[in-house]
Amino acid sequence: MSRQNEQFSLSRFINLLKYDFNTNRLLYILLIPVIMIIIGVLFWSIFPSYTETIKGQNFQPSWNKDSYYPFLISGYIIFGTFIVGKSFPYFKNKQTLTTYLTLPASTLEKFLLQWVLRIIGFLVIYPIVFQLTTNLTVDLYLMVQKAKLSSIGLPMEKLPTIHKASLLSFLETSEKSYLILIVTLTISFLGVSLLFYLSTIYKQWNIIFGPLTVMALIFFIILYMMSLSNIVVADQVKFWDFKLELNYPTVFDDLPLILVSTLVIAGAASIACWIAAYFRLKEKEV
Amino acid sequence: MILLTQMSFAYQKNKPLFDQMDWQVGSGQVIGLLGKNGAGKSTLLRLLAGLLKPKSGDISIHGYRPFDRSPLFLQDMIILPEENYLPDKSSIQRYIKSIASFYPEFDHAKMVRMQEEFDLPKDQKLGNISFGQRKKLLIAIALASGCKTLLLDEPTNGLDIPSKSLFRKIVTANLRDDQTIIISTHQVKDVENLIDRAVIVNDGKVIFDEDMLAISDQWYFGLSSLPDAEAVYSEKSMGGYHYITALGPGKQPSQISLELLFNAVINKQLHSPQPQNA
Repeated sequence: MSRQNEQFSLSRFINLLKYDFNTNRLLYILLIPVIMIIIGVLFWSIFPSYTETIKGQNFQPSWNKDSYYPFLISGYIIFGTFIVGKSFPYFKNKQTLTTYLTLPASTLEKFLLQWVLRIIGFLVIYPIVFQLTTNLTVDLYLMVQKAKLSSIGLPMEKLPTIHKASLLSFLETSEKSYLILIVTLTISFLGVSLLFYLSTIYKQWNIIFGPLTVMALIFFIILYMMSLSNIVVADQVKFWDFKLELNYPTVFDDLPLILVSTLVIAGAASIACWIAAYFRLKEKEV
Repeated sequence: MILLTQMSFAYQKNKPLFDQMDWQVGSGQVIGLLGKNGAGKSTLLRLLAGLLKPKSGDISIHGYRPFDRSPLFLQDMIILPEENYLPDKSSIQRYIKSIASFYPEFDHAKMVRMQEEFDLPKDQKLGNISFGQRKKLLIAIALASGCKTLLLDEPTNGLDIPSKSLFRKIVTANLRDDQTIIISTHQVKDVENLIDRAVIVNDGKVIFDEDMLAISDQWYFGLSSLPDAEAVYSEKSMGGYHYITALGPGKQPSQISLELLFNAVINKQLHSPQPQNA
């Protein structure tokens, strides 16, 4: 058998997937429905009701596409903590780790299983589940609202305006906000990657200590930026008044250097987290 | 072929458990790895399984370094740890199916037969079966896997008396000529009629390593009412004195008492003529 086969084989990877699904069957079966229920119940309770349109006379409360974004991002953080934070579940004790490490698959395959399911799977599937659930909730919610309006004999004009979520509308933003979006996504990606790596250190406690470490890191970055601002900007009086000019200098047709360097650093740090997690798995002793 | 060359290992901050150990195991042997609690038996199995990394020296199993954890090595080696893990929510059959797919030579017919012999339930949730049944299931999986190297750590712990004798019978009946089993145990009686080589580990060293046939040809294990003056080792028991003496001319070989042999070696009364590791 060739060296390449020793590193990665699709059939072994599929075996690992089946084993992982069989071991965590309940989690995989219930995870998406539970996320859908949480999202559905949340939006059902916060969508504007026809009672608000009646009170507001000419004012008709609406729910537009942009209203979803804070919830989408919050979901990324909350569900990400639970899903990505629980990467490498086999690290939780000596017995599970012994079984996992001696399964006939390469370290790369065992690493990729976690990487694909926990990082790529989560980052791709979560927004799709979010959009599907919110849109389904909108349809059901409006159907119930219509039924209530007709039961009390009110005109359909009193029906609140609720737009459906659209992931594509993220891309329909201005050039500047598009860049902000990229930076936000890259930093989120770094947060997820860091949480993924930390799960090899904190094991089952990562769900608590992982986010705390990420928050501590964010705090130190802010502290560093504030200190830098205090040192560089002469007229800054208060420590937390951030006055550092971030739009200059620019590179590549007016792209702020800070933005480009943030992207590069966050991207490189994400990759470093994956490589570190791979070697933690490879060198793991039990 | 299992080959340990000048292998040393120590847990962090502890004194070396194995110091420049040399050891060799050929194919097709059933080895009893015996030793007191904490002697290093489980650690040695973990080193052979690639779960621990030697601090120096080398371990080679069929040409692979265990700690590299090559899938080609892992599909030819199976370890049954003393404390094992089975997913509670999975059913027995589903678990067997998922684990069998990793082993190219897994023998499903043998697995079914052993399930019947061990009287294991056909399809129950793994969380609902007893500790002994879990152990029997894992022993059956190990034997059916077709792996060339089987490492069993205290396999009879948790088994009832009929299951212990069944274990010996099933291992003997289902072992292929090219398979090597290393059974680590401190319950020496459980493997007495099973092993064909006895290896005794103490303080991280192999202090005795001998084929059972050679032991039988060299030593006589007897019981007498009075202490035997020529005995190299004797132990007082309820029925008199159990002793070990050199097998003299005209004496028929006796049934080996592994427990007596073990005690004699541990008490430094009996030595391997050619110790593999000093």
